[in-house]
Amino acid sequence: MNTNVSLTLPAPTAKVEAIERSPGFWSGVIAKLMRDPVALGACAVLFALILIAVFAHQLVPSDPYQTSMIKRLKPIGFDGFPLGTDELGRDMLSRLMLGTRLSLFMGITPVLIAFVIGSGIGILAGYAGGLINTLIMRTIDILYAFPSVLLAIALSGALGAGIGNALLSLTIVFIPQIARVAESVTTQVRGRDYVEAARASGARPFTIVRVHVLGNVLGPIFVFATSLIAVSMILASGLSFLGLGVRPPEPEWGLMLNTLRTAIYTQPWVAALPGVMIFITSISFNLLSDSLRSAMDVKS
Amino acid sequence: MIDTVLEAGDTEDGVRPVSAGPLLRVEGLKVVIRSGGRAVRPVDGVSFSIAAGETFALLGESGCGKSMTALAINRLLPDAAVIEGGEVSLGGDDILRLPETRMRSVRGGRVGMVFQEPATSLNPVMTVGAQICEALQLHRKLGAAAARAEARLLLESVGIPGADSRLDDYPFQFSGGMKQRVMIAMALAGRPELLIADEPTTALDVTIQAQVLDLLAGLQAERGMAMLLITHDLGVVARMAHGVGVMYAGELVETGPRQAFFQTPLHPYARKLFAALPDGARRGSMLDAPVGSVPALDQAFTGCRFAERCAQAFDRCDDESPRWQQVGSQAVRCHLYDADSVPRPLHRTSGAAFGQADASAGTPLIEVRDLAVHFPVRKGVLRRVVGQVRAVDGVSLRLGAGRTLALVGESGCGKTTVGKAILQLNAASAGAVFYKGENQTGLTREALMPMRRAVQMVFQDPFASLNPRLRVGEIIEEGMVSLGVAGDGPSRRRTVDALLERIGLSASMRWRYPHEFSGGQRQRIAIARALAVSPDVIVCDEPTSALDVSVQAQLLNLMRELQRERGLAYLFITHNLAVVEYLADEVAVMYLGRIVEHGPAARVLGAPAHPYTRALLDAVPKISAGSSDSLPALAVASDLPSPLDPPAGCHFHPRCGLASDICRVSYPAERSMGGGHRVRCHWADASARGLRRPD
Repeated sequence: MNTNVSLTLPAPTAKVEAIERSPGFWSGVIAKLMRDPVALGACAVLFALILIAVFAHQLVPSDPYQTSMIKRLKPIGFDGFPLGTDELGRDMLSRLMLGTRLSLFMGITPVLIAFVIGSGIGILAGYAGGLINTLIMRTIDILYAFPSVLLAIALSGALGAGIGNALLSLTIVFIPQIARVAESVTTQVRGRDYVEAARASGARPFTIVRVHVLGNVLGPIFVFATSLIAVSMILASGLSFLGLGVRPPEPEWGLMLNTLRTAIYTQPWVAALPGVMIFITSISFNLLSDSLRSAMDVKS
Repeated sequence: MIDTVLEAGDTEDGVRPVSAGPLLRVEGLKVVIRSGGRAVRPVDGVSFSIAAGETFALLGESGCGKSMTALAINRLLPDAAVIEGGEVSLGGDDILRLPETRMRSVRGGRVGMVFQEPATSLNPVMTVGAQICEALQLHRKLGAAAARAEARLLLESVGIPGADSRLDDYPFQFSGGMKQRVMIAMALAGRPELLIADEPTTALDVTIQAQVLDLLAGLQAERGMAMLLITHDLGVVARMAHGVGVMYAGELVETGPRQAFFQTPLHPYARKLFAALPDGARRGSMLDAPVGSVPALDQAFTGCRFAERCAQAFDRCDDESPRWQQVGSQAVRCHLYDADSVPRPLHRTSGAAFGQADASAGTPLIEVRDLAVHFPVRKGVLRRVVGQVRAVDGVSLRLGAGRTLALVGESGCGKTTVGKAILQLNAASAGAVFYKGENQTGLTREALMPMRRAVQMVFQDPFASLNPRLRVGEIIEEGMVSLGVAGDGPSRRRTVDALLERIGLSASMRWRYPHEFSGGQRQRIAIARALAVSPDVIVCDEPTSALDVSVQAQLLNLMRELQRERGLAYLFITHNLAVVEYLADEVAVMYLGRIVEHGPAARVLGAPAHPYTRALLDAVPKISAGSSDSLPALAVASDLPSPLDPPAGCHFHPRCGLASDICRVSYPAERSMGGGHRVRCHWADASARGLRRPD
């Protein structure tokens, strides 16, 4: 319950009013997600991954950077190495756990930045309409014309390898996609009668965007952005795989997949582990975004 | 004639038709929808029968189970709905026990169906010819060439001109009325014995409605079909039906022949439906609207389902479900007609009279002078302007304080655009809008503030006009915040509370969201939002067209009261002439962007001078016991022409029975008919003299 409004009520009636008050939109969405077993499962997996990422250094069973030439490419269940070792004899479990950090970071950060910038551009274009819309959206379309993988590789290649440049290129890849969605949702909302009603009561354009447009468009854009996190993780892994993102010896799932590919014939199960992690994480984000979509579907 | 003779004190759901062989017999039909542990019973023991060549009308408000009954007859219910009991027999076949494979030949074959919304009932990516041929090949086993020839005949029989070439057109190339004709042609493709028409004309304009109803009646007589007509419109029933069944909360509460039903409706609910209708005779008095709404159907009813809304209810009504009683040729389920009950005299309750609103003409609050709103049509890469949609093309209006001006016309004639242009929501291409003598066109947002405080708007669709993410309190408060009226936070909140109480909701509802309210309640909230800034004028754009008749009556009452209390002026944009007769002081009739007739309501509606006004009035189905199926004196043929390319001369001439050479060449000048009654027609005098509305 949102208490800051209740506080301003006259004290004697506050209690009665609070009972009559319908739950807010977001608390309704959360309540629906809580009843959805798929969403709860996905949330639990993601929460566990985030915990691992935050406390990776405390949780790792052994030093993820410790190499050993004799213990190279040991199988799953090898003594002292529950998930085996990689091609340099480092503990796979520890590296996968520490890799959660960079992989999640590379998955979420570009989408978050692109969400802010892309929504801004899209809402501006959608609300302004006319010539401004045409100019913005056609510019966006030029970026949109390139396949996202190709664009990310080209940008990273041009900017040079490194985490910062990989983040930047991924952000640039996602901005047009989010802006497109934001623009189309905003254009729909702009034509609604309640926006006309707000104009008829003299509301400023900024107020209309803040009160009427944002409230109704952020939900759909958010759902779309959530589904992009999985794409972002896979793209980031791809960049690392190509040597354009994270550099060794930092553990990152895409990079680990890359360096282990030579071991695919000797230790296929160990080599597949980073891929399994990428799969689990991205499918969790996708399932969560699907559940969010249906939970935000307000009947009217 | 439908046989509704039954013995008083028959079994529970005991309409027992004695007739030799009705085509369709429905007996004790029950439908249940189970979802999440709740069982909703939209159809709960409905019995009726229809003979070949007869029309039976199911009448009632939305949520009464009318459409569910129709779908159950066709076994086309939604997944969650199950037929729980009862019998449906069509020409002797037990429909509910037929295997699904045989049912498919019944649907579209022996039973044709016409739905409410022609726009969504046709497949947009198939030509209409292909859609009709599909039905023909399926149900009549015709070859491709034969099917096409038959489809052409069908299109001709439903009155579509140039049927041969139109077979290859797509649905979007047809107007709403024409689409409904195509739907009817498709329904006829299987040579049905029974035609089910579910609100076939609700989505159509009144002139188009008249055409479609005539078509249905003609086709029925020609083919000897039985027809089940589902409607909430008493006028449509009066025009079409032989027998009437009134449905309420999943039950039939009254059945009888049309004549008897319209002379003396028996059930209190049926009487309320009549009393809730606005018309000229009830001007100045409250409409007698039933309070509340249809009860939720997920409960077990013990007494009469209408009891809580019934003014004549007594103790027995709460305890005991009424049985069928035979009264003359009618049958009714109401304790008032039971010999065991204490007989009570039944009167049609007359509404409380209003004090006469201030009738002085006053200084015009709003004056519109030669307003034009043109929308450019652009084409090609360079977005060159290739034409203008002349939505509004030279409109002048004056609205005085405390007055109601009705702007009437078919959809697409530009009435909504006028309303929005007055509020400066659409830019005017030419002309001016004055508020208290000040020109408002082309002003900045800040300079418009005084007008915004005084002129507010209520929109047509109560589901689209309230922001679903805002609480009701925030919605009502918004205008006060933007315009800086009603002081600080606490005082604004007091205003919101007072407004909510005034419109018949409680102050605590301010914390709710719009989706928790019904259509009528939402429209009240929209009115409260408009009232929040204490305006002088409210532009109402079809505020009741999305509502049931009883809810409409409640809303019209509220609007009248508010007008009296606050001296509001209304610009009432509508196509519903009954509402105009009831509410308006002045009427302006609009056709293709121009006002063709304007004057005091009594004069314009009583002695219409323009053939278009007369056609509009004639197209309204009359509600009287004796109304026949004869064609109105001056029916409008065809559809509204496109405002992109209006006809030369008088815009109305292609649809006008009086048109002559001069009408095809020159647009008529305005002429006065006296008493402020002005009209634009070359034949105004002749039309007023010789062809007066027959009533």
